[in-house]
Amino acid sequence: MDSSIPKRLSKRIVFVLIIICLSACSKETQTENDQSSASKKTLPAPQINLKENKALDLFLAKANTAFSTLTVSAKKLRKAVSIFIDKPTEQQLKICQDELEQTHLNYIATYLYRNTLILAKIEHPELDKNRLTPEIVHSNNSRLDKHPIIPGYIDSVDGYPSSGIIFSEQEITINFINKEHQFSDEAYVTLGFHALGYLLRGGEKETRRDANSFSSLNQAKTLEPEYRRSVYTKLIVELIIKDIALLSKAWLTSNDYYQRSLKELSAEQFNTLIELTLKLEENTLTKAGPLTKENNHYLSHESEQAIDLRRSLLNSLQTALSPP
Amino acid sequence: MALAIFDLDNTLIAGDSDHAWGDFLVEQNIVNKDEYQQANDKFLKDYQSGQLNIFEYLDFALKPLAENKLEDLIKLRNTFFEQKIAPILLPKGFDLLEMHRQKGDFLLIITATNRFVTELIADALQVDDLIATEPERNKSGFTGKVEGTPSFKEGKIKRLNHWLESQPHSLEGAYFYSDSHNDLPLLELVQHPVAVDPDDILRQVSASKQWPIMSLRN
Repeated sequence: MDSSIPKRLSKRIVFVLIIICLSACSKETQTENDQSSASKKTLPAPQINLKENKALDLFLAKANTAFSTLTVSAKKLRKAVSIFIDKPTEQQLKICQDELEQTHLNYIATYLYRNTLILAKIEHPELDKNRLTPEIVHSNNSRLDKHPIIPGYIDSVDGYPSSGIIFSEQEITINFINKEHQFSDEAYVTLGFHALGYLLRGGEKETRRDANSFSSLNQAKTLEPEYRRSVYTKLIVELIIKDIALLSKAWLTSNDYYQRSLKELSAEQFNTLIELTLKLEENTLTKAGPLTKENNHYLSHESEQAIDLRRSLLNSLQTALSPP
Repeated sequence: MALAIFDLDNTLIAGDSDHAWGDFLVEQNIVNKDEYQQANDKFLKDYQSGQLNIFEYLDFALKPLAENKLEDLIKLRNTFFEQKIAPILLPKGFDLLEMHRQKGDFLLIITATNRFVTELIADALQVDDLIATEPERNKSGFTGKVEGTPSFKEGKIKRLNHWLESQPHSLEGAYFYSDSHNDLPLLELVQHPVAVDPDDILRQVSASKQWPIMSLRN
């Protein structure tokens, strides 16, 4: 266990508190009318109940709920995709798209917990580190939710009907898509929710997917893009499920790294950390801009649904951690 | 690699999912509040006292599945899991499962509660398989009847033996964790019976037989 966490944390907290103060000062120069109406729904930052010091228990109980829900929806996604690539139909494609959207929202619902660790600089030795040798290992966050992406790196895009991995001659394997992930550029994304989203949805015009864009994996292997798309979809979902299982386990098991590291913090350190996490999220949500075509799309982190979810989670944690 | 078998309700979760599902249906106005609540509570008491008539109970508990559209039920179940079940998953339960996972054991939940209610919970706990009471289905949804033997009391042994016929596992070195004296038949059968936050009867039996008693509650 890294005994320097509390020291690093203290420095980090002081730094981020300064940033927040500056940010808050800047915000005060704006008129109230500048703030979105939605931001007014956000509760004021809580005074953490230091006396009973149940903040960490409550925080972990809430995290437990969030990561369990994520695990369940990931398994539903896998089931939906498994049925679809066995026998592609329009109805099942829609179910897959919906299950992916729900799983992604449930991942967003874990953001506050994950961000608490980032602020504390608690890095899981296996999940949070990028490694190039002896094999390429991307951090869990980078594997699961990397965006924006360059869709033409994965599959055909409107105007370029034969682009991407789907139309290449390389055999699509887990090793291959892992190696191609962020190869030479951050946006060359081949793993995670957003890559899967593009495989399942395609572009806006001639590359919009339907059931005929995929073929059943029950038939003999072919080099047709429809078959390759089904193979890629199957593999990418397998990796998403594996990553979510690892992430959830690291949160849900009390002797795993995250819980152990959080429990090493003093009550005062943890309470400062959680106040900071909540304050940062509150500031972010206060600044959330109006809905536009750019931010209100499939799997967007800034869609109305995603922002409402984050706001509701923030309120829920603030309420839970406030004194009675 | 041994079998690590777990009861679900009041063992790995801090409550009874079957009863909670009934309460949730009442809350959502899916069933008649007065009649359903009363009967649901009575069946829970019967279960706790070891007097439950499982077939009478299943006629009652599976009826709402037959009376509602499958797609509506699935939406309800998602909400039920998020609101009622996820908050009562026991952190120490995750630890116990992880301990067996690390040993390379096969993780199996065996529960009298029906599969429709419990399959998401088994998913959340990331166990390898689930044996649950099976609600009968036809093309349009649930019929309201039970299929095969309910996994309750001796029925757990029958269902487990049937499951073992198609599996590479055996009961050699198996563990079984439960809170309820209703599970005594299976507890007697395995090599490593463990009472988890047991009811009064199971606590007494465990003490007399020198079975380990543990708690997964904080």
